[in-house]
Amino acid sequence: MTKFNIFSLIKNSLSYHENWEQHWRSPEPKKEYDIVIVGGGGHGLATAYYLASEFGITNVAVLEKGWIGGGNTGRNTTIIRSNYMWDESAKIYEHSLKLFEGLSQELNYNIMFSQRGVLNLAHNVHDLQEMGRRGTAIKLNGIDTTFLNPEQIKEKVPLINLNGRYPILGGLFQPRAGSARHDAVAWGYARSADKLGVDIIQNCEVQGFDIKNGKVQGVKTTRGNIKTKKVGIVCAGHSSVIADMAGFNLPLETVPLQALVSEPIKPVLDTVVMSNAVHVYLSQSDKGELVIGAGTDEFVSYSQRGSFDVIEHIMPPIIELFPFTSRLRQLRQWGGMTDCTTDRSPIISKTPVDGIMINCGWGTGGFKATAGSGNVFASSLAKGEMHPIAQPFSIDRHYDGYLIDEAAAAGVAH
Amino acid sequence: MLYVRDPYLNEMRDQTEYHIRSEAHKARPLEPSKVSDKDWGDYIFFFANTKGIHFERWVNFTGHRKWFNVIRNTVTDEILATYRPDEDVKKIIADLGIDKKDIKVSGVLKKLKKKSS
Repeated sequence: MTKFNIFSLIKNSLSYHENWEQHWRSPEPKKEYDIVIVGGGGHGLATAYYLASEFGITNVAVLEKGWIGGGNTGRNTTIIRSNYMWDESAKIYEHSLKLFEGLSQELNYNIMFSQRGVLNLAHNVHDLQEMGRRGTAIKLNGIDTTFLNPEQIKEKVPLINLNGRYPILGGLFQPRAGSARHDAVAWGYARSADKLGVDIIQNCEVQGFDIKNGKVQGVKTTRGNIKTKKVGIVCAGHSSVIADMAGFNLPLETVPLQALVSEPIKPVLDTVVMSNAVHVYLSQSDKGELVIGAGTDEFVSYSQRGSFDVIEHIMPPIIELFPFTSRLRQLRQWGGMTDCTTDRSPIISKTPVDGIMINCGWGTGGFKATAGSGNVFASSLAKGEMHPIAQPFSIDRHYDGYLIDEAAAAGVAH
Repeated sequence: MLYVRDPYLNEMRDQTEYHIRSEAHKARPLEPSKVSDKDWGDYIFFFANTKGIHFERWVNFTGHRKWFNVIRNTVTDEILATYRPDEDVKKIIADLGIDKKDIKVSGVLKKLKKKSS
């Protein structure tokens, strides 16, 4: 694998950048693997990478129905943060953020991680009180966070309108949060995993499992049967479909989540602004587009597109908070399918089938967890026991009542 | 955005007049205090989450505030039928010509599916 650096850049510039090697191979599936990962999104690729790099397990296949970066990995709003209230969430998201901080160097791949901070806004007394509680909980977990008053917010985001229909009374800021290039995260993990010997098999749809006496023996795919004793299901919106093939049910509902980007403009916003109360979720990409996160539809759908009324609902508050956007044209709009649990916390768990583990339920906020989720899931698959950070996220919490209720703690914007 | 025939008004209405409240035909245990944690958890949190023919509950919140059920294909978002809870769902399924194999629900219809197959 070519090491990306200034010298390889100069060398390749001499041949007009036409001779860069392929990022990863396209191998034929082998007859048998130690571990099969179902789903080649960011989380699946990260799992494969950490299996190979941390645990030395390289006889691993990642099966992807479509192509790398074609699903939710390429459809999210690319925000990374760890300011979650509950201890369990704080641990996993902070674990992920720390891995992201060193990821470009580790993968020798520029993921364009920009720690520009994330600002949550408060518009009423209740918001302020909730923020006080959440901010203090976050601080107690050792995660950076600061309270800002309206003047400090205006200084940080000069184009914001403090005195709209719902005036801004304060905010909570996480300086280490930010954004990264989502495709690069997937490509970087794929390239490094491939180099370590992992087979990334695209256009390979899983159609069933070979299960004997409650133990998994293999996976049936459109490209033949593959024997394996360990399977990790990491396929987001389609988790219920795959779980159904293995004969168990999941506490998930798959709903469309939309996002949109404006035409590119000069730099106007160098942080991420979120407001749960009026539903604003805005950042500016390096290309200059304003990236806007919209809401989810209320209904189950696998259509990869959302309703127009959701877009209608988020535009007025954006214009109210940032009046300059009123004549900005929106360039593109798209939807991804998010696997939502009732408590809006993920599931990283063993399943009723021996040998099959599942990592799903990231719902509307999975991108930020890509590195941490892959890391703890790889450890769980390698050792056969759930990683301590993953333990609270078991499916069983829906039976014993130990839910991790981030739905209320984090509000809508994930 | 979906456009739906309201079975009470018997006219086409806009989806924004309704809330969609999850899976239909999920039977609430008659005596919740007597069911096991497993059964109660299954009832509250686990969903068929069907890719394909999906049964769901809708409620109008801008007018008559009544509940009804919708059969929708979750891949195309096409609405196949809407019906009041007191209507015969088996007849509606038969009229639509839906193959029982294509029905995946975690409630009453699961039993229906088992009996018929």
